[in-house]
Amino acid sequence: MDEFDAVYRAHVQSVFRFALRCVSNRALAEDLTAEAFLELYRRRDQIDTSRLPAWLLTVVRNKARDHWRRQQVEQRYVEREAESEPVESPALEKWVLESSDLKPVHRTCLMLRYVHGMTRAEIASATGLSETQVKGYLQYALERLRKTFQKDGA
Amino acid sequence: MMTKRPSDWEEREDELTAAVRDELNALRERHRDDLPVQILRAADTGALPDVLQETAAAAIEGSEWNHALVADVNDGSAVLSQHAEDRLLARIHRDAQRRPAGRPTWFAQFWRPALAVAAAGVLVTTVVWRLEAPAVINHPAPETVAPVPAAPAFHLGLDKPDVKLTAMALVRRSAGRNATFADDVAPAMNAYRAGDYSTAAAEFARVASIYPESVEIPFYLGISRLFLNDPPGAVDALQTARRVTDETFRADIGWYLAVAQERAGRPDAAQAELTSLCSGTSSYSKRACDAAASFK
Repeated sequence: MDEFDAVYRAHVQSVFRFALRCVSNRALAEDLTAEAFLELYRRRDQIDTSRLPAWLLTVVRNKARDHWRRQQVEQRYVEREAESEPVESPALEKWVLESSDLKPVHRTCLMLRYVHGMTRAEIASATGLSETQVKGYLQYALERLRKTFQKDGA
Repeated sequence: MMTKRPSDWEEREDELTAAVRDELNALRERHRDDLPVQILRAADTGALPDVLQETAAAAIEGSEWNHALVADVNDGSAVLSQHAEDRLLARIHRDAQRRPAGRPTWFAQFWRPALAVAAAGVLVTTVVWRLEAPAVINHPAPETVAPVPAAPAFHLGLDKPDVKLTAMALVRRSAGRNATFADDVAPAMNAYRAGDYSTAAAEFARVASIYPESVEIPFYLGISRLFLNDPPGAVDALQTARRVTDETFRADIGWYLAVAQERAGRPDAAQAELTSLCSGTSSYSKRACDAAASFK
């Protein structure tokens, strides 16, 4: 399996990151990653490895689609009407989206916790970060938020 | 106090959010009916069932908030640890030896004996029947094979673009520091020029937060990831570059997004990029028109 192991090492990180984006669940993303590579191993004689990782990503995407179908997400969300947002965004939303004080990862953690009401564990699972990282990012973002809005008197 | 708190809320968070308590509540109300981030992210990869895929893609397109949620969590922070990587590989080895393709373990353990008995019964019946019936040709049952995507052939080659800088890059300085943009990106650019894409990608990622308004950093980060065979990572970086909306790189970003999308297994998205480039007047237009035609 030496050749297969080398292919695995070359692509596993990008396949895992993609799987995580597909399902937003670290454990499930690991499962999908393992299943895609297992499929590759079984069909290694048929697949041109120079075409990887696109083939692996397609396998992951198909399996993720099956996962969401089993979750019956269409019934839950598809009938929800797309509502257009008011033209004027609130000042706080503008700051969250545009502030150069925040790195993307700070912004994401802030949005998910203080607007979408997620726990640190949920944020960690959805983003692939550790809970310790999430806690650190939130601490920084919250500190920036407090300083900005106290200073502005908002 | 927020209208709804996560279950792990800490008192300290009340103090830190006190200055924006009402604004946060208003923001929560404003986004109360948004699609969950999990659904939005899945839509961004094309991994949802068809109808919901359309709904969620429209929700991303139509909302800066949703767009940020999807784009910002794709910054490559999520990695498998060495331990997790080894653990998964061991699991794949184990499963590869344990289960033949397409047959779950329970199939072998439970149904194989039952099928053996049934097959014996069929054999006896067939022997008795053949004594009376005319001979027929028995075709083997077709083997059921799980559908597997065909290995894609890439229409778009991957050329290395030369380093170029916007006019802004020449005068840009980091906030609160003495270094210039040119100083800060030099290690990344030198590695990129030398073809050391691993170092280049790490260096570009390191300086990205210092110069969030730079288009060069996410663009060359995207190209480095393409050469590292990380097409989803390349798509993320190039989409970040596109959001900077600098005309100097507009066509380059479109072309390399097409390359990355194709390699990420999203030919429709690649085709859309090519079609857009084809209708323009950039140096990529002719290549894009030719490539778009070859996709059909």
